[in-house]
Amino acid sequence: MPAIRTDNLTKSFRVRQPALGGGWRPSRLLRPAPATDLLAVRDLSFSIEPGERVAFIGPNGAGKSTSLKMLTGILLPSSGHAEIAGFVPWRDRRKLARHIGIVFGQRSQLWWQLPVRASFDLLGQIYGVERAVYRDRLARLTDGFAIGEYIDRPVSQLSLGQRLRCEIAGALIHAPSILLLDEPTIGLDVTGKALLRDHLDAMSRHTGTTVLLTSHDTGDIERICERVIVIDHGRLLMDLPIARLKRDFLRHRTVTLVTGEETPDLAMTGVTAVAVEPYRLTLAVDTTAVPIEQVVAAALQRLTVRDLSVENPPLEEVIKAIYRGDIGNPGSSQWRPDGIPV
Amino acid sequence: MAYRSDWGALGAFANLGWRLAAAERLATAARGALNVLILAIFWAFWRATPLAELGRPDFTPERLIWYLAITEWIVFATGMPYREIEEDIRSGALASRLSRPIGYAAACLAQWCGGAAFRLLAFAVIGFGAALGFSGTVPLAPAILLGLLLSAVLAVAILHLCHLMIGLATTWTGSAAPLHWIWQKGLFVLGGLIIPLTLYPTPFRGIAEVSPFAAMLSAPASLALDSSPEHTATVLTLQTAWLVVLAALAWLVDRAAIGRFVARGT
Repeated sequence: MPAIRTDNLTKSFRVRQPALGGGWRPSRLLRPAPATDLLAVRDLSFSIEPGERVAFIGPNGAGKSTSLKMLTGILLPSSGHAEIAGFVPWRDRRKLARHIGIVFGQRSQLWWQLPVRASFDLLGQIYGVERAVYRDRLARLTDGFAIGEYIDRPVSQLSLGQRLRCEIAGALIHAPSILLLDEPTIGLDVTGKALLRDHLDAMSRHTGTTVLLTSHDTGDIERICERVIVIDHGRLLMDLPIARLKRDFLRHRTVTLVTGEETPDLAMTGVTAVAVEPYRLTLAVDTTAVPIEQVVAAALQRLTVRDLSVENPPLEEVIKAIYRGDIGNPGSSQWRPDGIPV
Repeated sequence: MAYRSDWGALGAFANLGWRLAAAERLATAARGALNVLILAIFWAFWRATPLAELGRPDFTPERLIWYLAITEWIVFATGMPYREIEEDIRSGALASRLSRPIGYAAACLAQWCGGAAFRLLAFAVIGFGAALGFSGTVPLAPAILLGLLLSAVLAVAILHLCHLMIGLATTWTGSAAPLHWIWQKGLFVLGGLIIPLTLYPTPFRGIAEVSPFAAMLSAPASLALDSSPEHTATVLTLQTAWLVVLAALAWLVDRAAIGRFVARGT
């Protein structure tokens, strides 16, 4: 049974334009402004197996948070179906809550005035975790997320990074089988992000927790997830392993050559010299114009190659291209009929 | 199992409410000072009023100051908890509260009960101490004290149900403050915050007595004027009836408000 499954999940909101300006008229009371339906999520279908770690990404307003809210049962879909941990979320919200952990990066699940430990104690009681189990789990989470130093401090006195680590540890107090994370590293500095990602990665690997993560930060996605679901305008755009996303959508790769020649040169169609230094040549290769293997072969033939590296562009570049529409949707000419991008 | 765990969770929320109320030392002290000031003003007022002209031997300054001490005790113990729900709805924090395995309204009520228990204790010491200091007497028979405590607990429970409904109304109105303002004025006037309802002229006395507001303030405070077992039984019956009616209404409002929030996402 999949950990998470959605079938044609759709949500539309009825939006009424507020009548501003133009003075007050009695007719406005009798005839409210016309309402329009805003389709936030349309026919979203995907399935996530237990233990999978999936990034759920899209530009602002793509429908990520709306989908996540439907999956947690705090938003009713307009149509379609979803099951998470075997429960229909909006029908069994409270039962489901015992099986999932939720972290909203911009909202706290902890109690601002209480020390972190007291917040955890309360969460343990809310979820009905047995005392001995709770003590053991708290010790492991305190150790795993390195929060022992400030666990007795009030939540209000923690830095954002410290608080977010505590939020995630708190969401795991009842050992959920599924963890839903909405922008868990938002607002953190580079070190804070790296620390949080490391802890989260280690935890999910160790416990086999299914992770569904929304983030605008490609670092979160690369570090924690193996698969990515991309949505835009509420519609599923792509669903594939991150490794394949990077591999298949690379229009450009960077080839760096360390050569025996002092001023190396490799003129080819689809190849641009990005930097020429003594004994070193950096090339940008358009893989749609020339296969990378051909460039490597040409370099080995024409130059004295002492070292060679082929690098992928950052995932961020790929995702930006997807959002811009430079990379097509399933069904377009850039996709094979079986849904695999060409 | 889930049933037992729900009670454990509610107990934890009640404990949280107690702890948070106990931590508000400055606010409790400030409210206590205000309570004493109100009682001091009305003690002077009732003593300057020719109450004997009313021809009601039970309306003495001593009894009336204790009447006010009881109504103020309940008002201060209750606080204004509707604002927490209003804030949760307006900020969107309700979404994360709903993702817990315990009902939102039940958790709120449990937490408020914990806080009110602490404040009932604190303001009993402050308010009743002041009333005793001013009047030099306790016009309540010792046998009635348990009845008074039970009546106060019922009053606070009824008030909490009203606060719950007012807070949840934010899902429709966007702000609960105007509704609370109207309700509070109704409570003060029809609930007999300062003057016992038996002093109201007809038909206003009748209107006030059949309103739920009477069960919130006037009913428990009237024990300072009439400590008979018959009156105590009447008061407790009236309060229990209103508690049941308002609990049913609050359940319906909760279902409708949460249903609306879940359908709209705001």
